[in-house]
Amino acid sequence: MSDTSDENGTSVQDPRLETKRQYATFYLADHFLGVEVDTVQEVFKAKPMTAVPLAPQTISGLINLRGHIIMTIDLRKRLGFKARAEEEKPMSIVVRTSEGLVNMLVDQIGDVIHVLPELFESPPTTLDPQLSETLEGVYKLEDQLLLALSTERIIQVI
Amino acid sequence: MEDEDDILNEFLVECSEGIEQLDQEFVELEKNTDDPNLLGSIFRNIHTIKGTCGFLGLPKLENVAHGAENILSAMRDGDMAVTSDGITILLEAVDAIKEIVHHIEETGSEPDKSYDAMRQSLDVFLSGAATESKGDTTTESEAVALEAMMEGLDIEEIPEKDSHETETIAPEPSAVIESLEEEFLNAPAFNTSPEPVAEPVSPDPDNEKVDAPVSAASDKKKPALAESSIRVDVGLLDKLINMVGELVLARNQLLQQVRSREDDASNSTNNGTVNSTNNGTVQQIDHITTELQDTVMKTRMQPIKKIWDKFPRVVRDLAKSSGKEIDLVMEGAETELDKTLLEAIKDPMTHIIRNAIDHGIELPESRKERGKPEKGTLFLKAYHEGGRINIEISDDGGGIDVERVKTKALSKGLITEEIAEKMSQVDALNLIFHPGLSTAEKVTNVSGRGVGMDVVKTNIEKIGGTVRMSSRLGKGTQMNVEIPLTVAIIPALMVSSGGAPFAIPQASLIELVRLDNESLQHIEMVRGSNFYRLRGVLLPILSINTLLGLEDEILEDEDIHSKGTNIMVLKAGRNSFGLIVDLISDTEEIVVKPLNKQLSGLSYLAGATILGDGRVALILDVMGIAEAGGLSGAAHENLGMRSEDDIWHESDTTIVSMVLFSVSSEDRYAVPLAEIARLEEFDVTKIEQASGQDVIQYRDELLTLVRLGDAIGVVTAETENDRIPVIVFTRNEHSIGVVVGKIIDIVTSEMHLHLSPMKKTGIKGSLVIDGISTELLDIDQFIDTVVPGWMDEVTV
Repeated sequence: MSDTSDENGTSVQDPRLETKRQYATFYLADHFLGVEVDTVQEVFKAKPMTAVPLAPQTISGLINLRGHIIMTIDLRKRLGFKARAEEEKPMSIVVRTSEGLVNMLVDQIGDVIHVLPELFESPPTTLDPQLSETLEGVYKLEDQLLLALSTERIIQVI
Repeated sequence: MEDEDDILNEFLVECSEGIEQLDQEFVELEKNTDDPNLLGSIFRNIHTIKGTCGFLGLPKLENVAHGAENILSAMRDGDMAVTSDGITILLEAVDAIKEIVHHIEETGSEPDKSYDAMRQSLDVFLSGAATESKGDTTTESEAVALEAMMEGLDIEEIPEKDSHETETIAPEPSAVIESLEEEFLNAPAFNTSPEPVAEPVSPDPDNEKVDAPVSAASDKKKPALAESSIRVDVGLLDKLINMVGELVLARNQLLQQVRSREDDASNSTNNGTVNSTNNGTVQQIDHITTELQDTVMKTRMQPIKKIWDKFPRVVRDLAKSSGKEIDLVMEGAETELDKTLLEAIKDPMTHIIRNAIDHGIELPESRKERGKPEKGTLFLKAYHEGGRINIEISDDGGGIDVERVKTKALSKGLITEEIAEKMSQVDALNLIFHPGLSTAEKVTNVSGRGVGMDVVKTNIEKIGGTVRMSSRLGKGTQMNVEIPLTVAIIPALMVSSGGAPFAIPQASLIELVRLDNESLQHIEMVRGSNFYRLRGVLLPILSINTLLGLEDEILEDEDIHSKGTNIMVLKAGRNSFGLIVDLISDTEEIVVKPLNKQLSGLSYLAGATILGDGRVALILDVMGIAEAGGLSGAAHENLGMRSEDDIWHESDTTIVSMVLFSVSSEDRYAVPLAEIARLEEFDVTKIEQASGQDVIQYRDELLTLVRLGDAIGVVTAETENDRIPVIVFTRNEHSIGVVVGKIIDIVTSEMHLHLSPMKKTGIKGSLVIDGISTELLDIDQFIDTVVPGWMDEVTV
């Protein structure tokens, strides 16, 4: 937690300029994704929620998080992956955004990892726009690609 | 830098307080022109503003304040008499000061506009040199002041603020906590000024009713006051209230858990002692929470005086400009209500008061003729009753002529003659709340523009309140506004439908109706629309499951007959309707929680709340549901954000002449003028039968008559003198007559068509004409349905 971006005073906008970043990672339809660890409030097993009729498809419903009503976004739907099988129980990641807390449904939680700026690359142009528009970029890790999500873009126009 | 901002903010806050007081003090001064205390207080107020301005570098504000101060100084020293004209020009100066202060609040700097003219007219008045030009200046600037006031009072701009929304605090002058007026008097500029300071006048407690701080008296009181009250950020209060709201919810959950554990425990006898200890603690938490909630809610309470203080000035200005004499009597100004509500009722109340002055209270001469005192009385009264606030606004003016209201409504096509005859006095009076009706013969610049009372009603209802009116011709009018104490926690009826919990604000609930299988009465279906005869009146029925696309397809005809049906009778503005839900459970006090922006497009949704068991329930917006169900005259909005299967989608807008007509007395249809051949009235006795069809001889031809009412399942309204209105359509030189109930009017209106998904045969969609929802007839399709083949025949 000590090596946050603010220490060398660089912009948060461009991850390449920063020395090191921490990502809270998770899996979604066999893809490896992550959000910056600073944005994450908490992680838990998805709990029952109240569906909102007629709401955009990507919004699964509302949950009660200790007295706060929080909107839940199904990341599979949001990023254009195929829907989760009935028996698969999703996990919840609650992130802080400019519009308050938002709960994101993912398949499985991964580790918090450090990534080096030199591994960063902008989203490849050939990616499905529904996915690429929510990405800050891609980190080319040794064994796999980490898709770095922008929580702000996720909550935009669903 | 921040310090400077702080000083400026402090100054603005103090200014706003001072200005609020000034309006009232001036009006008071006009009545008691020789009250030195009042004059002294006004002088000090203005003087402080002027002094601090110089200190903060606000030359324009200083300029105006200085001009006003000079006049006040002359008045105080007895060099100039306190006249009505003088007060008028000083009030103008106060308006200018308000304007500048407001601008500084918004932008941080003075407006670009020059206030030299204002200063000049103040100076001219002071020197008394150009007495003849004075009259002109006064009326002109009075008009400007009035205009400015009216802008400020635009009733439609009441912010639709949800109770839970955190308000911005800094720039809002009304966010000021009252008890700090003492501080204002002791602002640094007061003592350091070169002007002679008003001599401390002896305290006169009897004279303090206007709240005019008298220096000597306040000096004595000061330490106590300063210690007993502090200035608190409204944002902080809101946060506190939110947290208490959460505590209440947590408490509810705790109670529920304890109860269920108790049930378990009652089965096993062992741990009875443990339970009783627990229960004691839980009960204590319960009590403390309730008390805490009450107390915290009180912090947001403000006396209604806060908005009433503005009225003496409004009344004075309006009375003056309309040549009337009016006494404003206020009772119960200390009655407290939630800050949010206070703000929400400010504009509606102002509007009602302006109406009372403009239309209610008569000119002195006509009052004299009627044997009333020349001076009219406007009476405001506020009091608590049954957990709600009642506000009465009454005048002893001319009252409302119910017949005139009816005539007006008739001429505007809002009602039909039959309805007008049958209408009760109360109903007729309530037409006042109909949009597009203004009874003022003369449209003044104050009111009579035909928008107003309906907006007043809508806005009051938005905060869960009601408006009632009673009036006696020649005696006066009384408006009763009833509003809840607070909006943060509301009583709601909990229901569930389609497996999901919903909350319906109790304020919009009229009654509950349960139809069981054996009941003789049932829901009747007319062309896809459902109705229920509630004590003989047709009540439109909507189903929440259908509207929201929930699973249970209760509207299927069999279902209705096969099991019991729960109908909530709800009111949405002027309409009432029934909403079918699966299960009705209980009423509960709920805390309204805001929703994310992404869900704000759902008009049926007013918010969400957390239930005792921790589940989230959606709070229904009754108005939104009525609109989604096509029941409201207001524009239909998209119910959801679905793009492909939009419930309503709008076509292009064109301006078209249309014939408006009704079939029963309650509906309204339109057909484009271009599509019809003639409008006729036929004698019923001339109708003949030919091959099972009604026909009539018309221009040497047999004209087939079809009844629109029969086709759409509506009882055609009876007509007088056996004449029936018929719309004649001609296609390829063949004509057909469509019998309707009543031809209302021919209008030119924007064709802003809402297409209905549940397409009814013969109806293209609905449009809003003069604020009334009107069905647009698809005449070709209609004829094709009722006289199959006719269209083909004629096109051959």
